Amino acid sequence: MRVLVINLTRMGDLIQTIGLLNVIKKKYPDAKTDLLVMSGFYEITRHFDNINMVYSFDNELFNPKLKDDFWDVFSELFKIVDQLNLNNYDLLLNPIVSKQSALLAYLINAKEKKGMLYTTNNEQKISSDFIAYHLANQHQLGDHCLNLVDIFAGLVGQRIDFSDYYLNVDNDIEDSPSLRKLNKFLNRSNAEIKKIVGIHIGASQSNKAWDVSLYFKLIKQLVESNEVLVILFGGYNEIDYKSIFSEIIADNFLNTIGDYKLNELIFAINQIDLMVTNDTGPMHIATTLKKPIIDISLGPVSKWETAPYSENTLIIEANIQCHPCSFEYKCPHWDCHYYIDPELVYYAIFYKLDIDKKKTDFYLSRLNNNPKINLFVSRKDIFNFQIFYPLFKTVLSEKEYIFEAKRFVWALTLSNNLQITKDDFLRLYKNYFDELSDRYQISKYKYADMIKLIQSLSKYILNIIVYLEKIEYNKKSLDKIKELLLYVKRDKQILFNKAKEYQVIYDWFWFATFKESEIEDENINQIARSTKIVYNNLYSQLQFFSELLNYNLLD
Amino acid sequence: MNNLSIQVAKDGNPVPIIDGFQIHSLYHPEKEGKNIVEKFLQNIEDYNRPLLVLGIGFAYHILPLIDKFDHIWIAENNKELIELAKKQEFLQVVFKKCVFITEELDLTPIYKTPNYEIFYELVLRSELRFEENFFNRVKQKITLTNKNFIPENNQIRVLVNSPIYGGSFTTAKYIESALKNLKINVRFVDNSSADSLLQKYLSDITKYSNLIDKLTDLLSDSLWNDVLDFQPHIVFFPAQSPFSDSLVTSLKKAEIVTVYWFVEDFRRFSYWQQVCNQFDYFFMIQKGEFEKILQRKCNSVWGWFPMAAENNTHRRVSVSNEDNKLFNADVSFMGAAYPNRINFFKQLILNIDRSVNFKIWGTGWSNQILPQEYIPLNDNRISIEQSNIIYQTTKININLHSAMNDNLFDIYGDFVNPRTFEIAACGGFQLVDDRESIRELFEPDKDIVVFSSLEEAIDKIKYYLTNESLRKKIANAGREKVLKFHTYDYRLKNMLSVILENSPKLIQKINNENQKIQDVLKLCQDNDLETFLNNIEPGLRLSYEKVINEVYKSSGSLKNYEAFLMLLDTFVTGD
Repeated sequence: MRVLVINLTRMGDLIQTIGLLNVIKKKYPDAKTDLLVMSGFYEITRHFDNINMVYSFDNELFNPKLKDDFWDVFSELFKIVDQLNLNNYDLLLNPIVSKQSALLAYLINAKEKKGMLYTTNNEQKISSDFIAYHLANQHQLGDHCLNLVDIFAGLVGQRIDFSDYYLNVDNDIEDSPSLRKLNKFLNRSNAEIKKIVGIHIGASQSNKAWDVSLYFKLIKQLVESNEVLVILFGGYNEIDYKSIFSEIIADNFLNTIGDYKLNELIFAINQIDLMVTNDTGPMHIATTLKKPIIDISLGPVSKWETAPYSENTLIIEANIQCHPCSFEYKCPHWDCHYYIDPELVYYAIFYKLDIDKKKTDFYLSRLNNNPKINLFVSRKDIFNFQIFYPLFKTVLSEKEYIFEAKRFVWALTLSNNLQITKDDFLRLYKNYFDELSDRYQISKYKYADMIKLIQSLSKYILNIIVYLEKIEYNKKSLDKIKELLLYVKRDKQILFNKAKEYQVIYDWFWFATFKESEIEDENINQIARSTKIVYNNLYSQLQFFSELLNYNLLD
Repeated sequence: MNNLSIQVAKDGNPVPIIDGFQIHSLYHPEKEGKNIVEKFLQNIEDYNRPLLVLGIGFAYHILPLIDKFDHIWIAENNKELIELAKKQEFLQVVFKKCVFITEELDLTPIYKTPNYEIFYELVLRSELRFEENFFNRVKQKITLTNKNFIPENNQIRVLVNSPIYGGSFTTAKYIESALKNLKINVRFVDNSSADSLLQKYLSDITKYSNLIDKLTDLLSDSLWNDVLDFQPHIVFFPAQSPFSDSLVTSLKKAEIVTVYWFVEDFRRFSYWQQVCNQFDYFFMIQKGEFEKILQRKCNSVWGWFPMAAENNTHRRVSVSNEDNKLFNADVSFMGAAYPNRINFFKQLILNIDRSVNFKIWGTGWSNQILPQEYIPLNDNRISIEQSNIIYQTTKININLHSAMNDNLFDIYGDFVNPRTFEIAACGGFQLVDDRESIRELFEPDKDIVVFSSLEEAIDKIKYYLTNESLRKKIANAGREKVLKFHTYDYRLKNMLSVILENSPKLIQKINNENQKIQDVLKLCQDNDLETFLNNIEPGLRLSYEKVINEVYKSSGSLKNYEAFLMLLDTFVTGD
C-alpha cells in the first residue's frame, strides 16, 4: 500500500506528524509511506521512522521574485506532482488545514484522500472528522482542546500513545568543533553535578518567546546554584543574543547559540535531562527524545494544540484572561511574559529534576504560591487524547467548566460516540469528570441562558431532521422534495444565524458544515440520509453539552 | 545624395562612378565580375538556397549567377543607381529575375522564399564605403525578423510615461491610444495627479526647486513600480514626462528599451542635449539643422517622426445649426496669439475684402489686438470638439506656424505643427505657411496649399474662396493622406518598426518569453492550459497578475492548470 502524507509547514508541525507516520504503520503494516515537505525542513525527516521516500519542494523557488519567473516555478511544481503521480498512491493524507496543501491534494492522484481537499467544483471539502474539528476551531481561537499530534493521528482513525511519538537519533554523527566542545563540556569532571538542563530561547514569533532578559536571570541563577549543567540552545535567528549570554562565564554553562546543524542539535538535546523552552521546533525535538519539558507558554500559543506531546510536560502560563491571544495581535503589554518570574521557573526546574527529594515540598510550595501563574501537567484522558490538569488543585472557573464540557463532547464526537446509549454515556462521563474532580474543585454555575438557547436551537435541528427523513423516504414526488428542501434551507438559515451569536458553540455548527461538504451521494434520497446523520450528530452534541451544563449528571 | 556618373571601361562596358569612386573595374568589368563569381561559387553547395547580393553596381557580379540561383535578392539603397542600371539594356534580365530590397526594407517578398533564413551572401565591396550601414540592416532584418522571430504586436508590452500636464499629456494619450489600436499591450502611467503640486512649485521655483526634483524622483520611483509589475519591453517617454537619471539607468540595466519622443523646439528647450544620448531611441519633429546636429552628437538611434492626427479625436463631426452659425467662416484661424500671428492677421484683415467672413479663435486674442467682430469667443480656450467644428465649417483654415518674434513667419520653419494634420483629418481645407518638411509630407496644390508671404496668402484666399470644388478636392485628398500616413497609429507603427529593427535583444527577449510558454505547454500537454493561454494577449501571458486574475475569474470545474496556479499563488500570498 502506498501512502503519501503532505506537510509543507515548519519544523514543529512537521515533527508533530511523526505520530501519524507511526500509527499508519500500525494500521497498515505493509504501508510504504512517502512524505512531501519543504526542502528547508527535509533534514529533520531523516530522523523519522516508517518513511519510504521524502519528496520536497525547493524553498528557493518560492522567493519574493517568484512572480517574475512564475512559469518556471509552475513547471517545477508540475514536475514534482507528475513524479508523485507515478507512485499511484492508495491513500493521500493532508493533515494541514491550508489552501496550499488542499490544492496539492487535489493535484496528486490517490484512490482515497483524507483531510482538507478541493473538489472538481472548486470547493473545499473536509474528509476527516479530526480535520473538520481542527478547521472548526480555527475560527474559535482559544477553544482548541486537542493536540495536533492527536488530530493528525486521527486522520487514519487511530489513537496514538506517547510511546508512538519519537525521533531517531543519529549517534554515528560526524565530528565537528561544536560537538567536540559539547563533549568536552559534558565530560568535565564534577561528580556532584549530575543533571543537565537545556534552555532554548527564541521562537518563530517574538510574542511566543520569553524575554531574553528573563532567560538571562534564570540561567544566571541556575549557574550560580552550581547544581546543574546548563546548555543554552538557539538557532540562527537568535544569533544576536549570543553575546548577551557570553557575560555568563562558568564551568557549568555552555552557550551554543548558532553552533549546531540539525543533527548536531538533536544529538546535543539527547544529552540533556530537562528542556526549558517556549513553543519551538527544538521543543518538539526534545519531546520526541522523551526529555522532560518545561514549556513556557506565551502569547498566541495554545497549550492544548501545540504543547509537547508527552506525559512529563510541565506547562507554565500566565493566569491572564487574554492568553492565548492570536498570532496577528500586537500586544501593548506582554504581561503574559512578565507574570512568569525567572525564580519560579528555577523552582520548577528543580521540582522536575527531583535531584533532592527532601526539597520537593519546598519547590512545590514555591510554585503553589503564585496567583499570577498557572501550572499544568499533561496526561492522557479516557479517550487517549492528551489532556492537561493543573499541578495544584484549583477551582474550575465558569469558563473552564464550559471548556471541559465542550472538550468532553468533542472527544465523544471524535471517538464516534455521539450515538451511544445513555448507560455508556454515563460511564464515560463519570470516568472523565472523576479524573477532573481529582484536580479541580468543580462548582455549579448557572448556564440557564445557554441551556435555553440550546433548547431553541435543538427544535430547529429536529425540524430539519424530520424534513430530511421525509426526503430520504420520498421516492415519488419531486415537487414535495423541492418543498421540503426549501423548509430545510429556511430552517438551516435560521438555525445558523441564531447559533452564530453564541461563538462558544458555533464550532459544532462549523463542524456540521464541513461534514456536509463531505457528502457525495448520488441521489437526493441518499444525500438526505447522509445529511440527516450530520444533523443527528449536531443534535447529540448540543444535548450532551446541555446535560453537562445542567449538572444533572454530577448529582 | 551621391554624385553619380557613368564611365565607359576599356572593354566598352559602362561602369558607374559614385562620388568619384569606380564601382567596377575600368578595364574589364565583365571579366572582373566573372572572377568574383568564380571565387564565390567555390563555397556554394546548394543553389536552392537564396542569394543576397549587397550592392547592384552594374551587376557584372550578378549576371553570371542569374541562371544558377533560383532566388536572388539585391539590396541597394541608391535609387538613382538603380534607375541608371534599369536603363542599361544588358541588365534587363537582372530586373526581371531579382527581388530588390531598398531603403524601405520591405521584406515581404523575401519571406515567400523557401528557406529564406539560410541565404548566401555576396557583397559588392566597392559599394561598402557608401552602404555598409544599410547592408548590415538588411542582413540583420532578414536574420532576426523571420516569421518565427518577428514578434506580433500583441506580444509586446509598452509602458507610456505621461507628462504631468499640458499639450504633451494629450500627445501621450494619443500615443497610448495608437499603441492599443496596434494591439500592443499598453500601460499608461498617469502622472497628471501631480499637476496641482507641480503648479504650486512652479509658482516659486526659487523656493521650491528642490521639491521639484523630489517630485520627479517620486514619480520615477512610482514608474519603477509599474515597471516591476508590468515588465514592459519598451518604456515610452513623451517630451516633458518626468524621469530621474537613476530611473533610466535602471531601465537600461534591466534591458528595457527606452524611447524618447522630443516633440519640442530644440532651440527653445535645450535639455535634448542630455536626453538624446540617455535613451536608446530619440525621436524628434524638426528637420534640417537638428538632424545635422544629431548626426554629430547623438549616439543613440534617432529619427524624425513628425506629429500627427488622432483619427478618433480629430475627425469629421456632425454640426448643429447653432454651432454652424457660431463657427462657420470663410476664413479662420484657430490657435494661440503668438507675436507673428498677431502681426500677420492684423495685416491680413486690412487686405482682404470686408465681405469675407473672418474669424479667429484661441487664447490671447483680445479686442485690443483685433476688432471684436473677428473674435466671437474672445480669448477663451477652444475645446477639441469645437476645433473640429471650426476646421470643418471654415472654407479656408489659415494654419500659420508660431514664432516667438513678430516676423510673419518662423524663420527656421523646420517642423510641422499638429494642426496641419488635425485640420486635414477633419476634412478642412487649409493654407499653411510653406516649409521643407510640409513638402515631404504633403504635395502642395494636391492635398495641401502653401503660402510663403502675406501677399501669396491673400491671393490664394481670394482664389480658393471662389473655387469650392477645387477646395473640397484638395481637402479630401489631404484628409486621405493624413488618414493613411499621418495618424498616430501610423507614426507609432513606424517607430515600432525602427525599434524592432534595431533591437535584436528585444526580439530575442520576446522570443524567449514565447519559448517559455511553449516549453510549459510542451511539459504539461494540457489542452485546457493551452486554451486558457490562447485567450490571454500574448504580451501578457508572463504577467503574473493577469494570469492569476484570469484564473480566479473563471468558473466551472477546477482544472488542473488552475489548481497549479492557485497553488503557486498560495506561495505568494502565504495563504
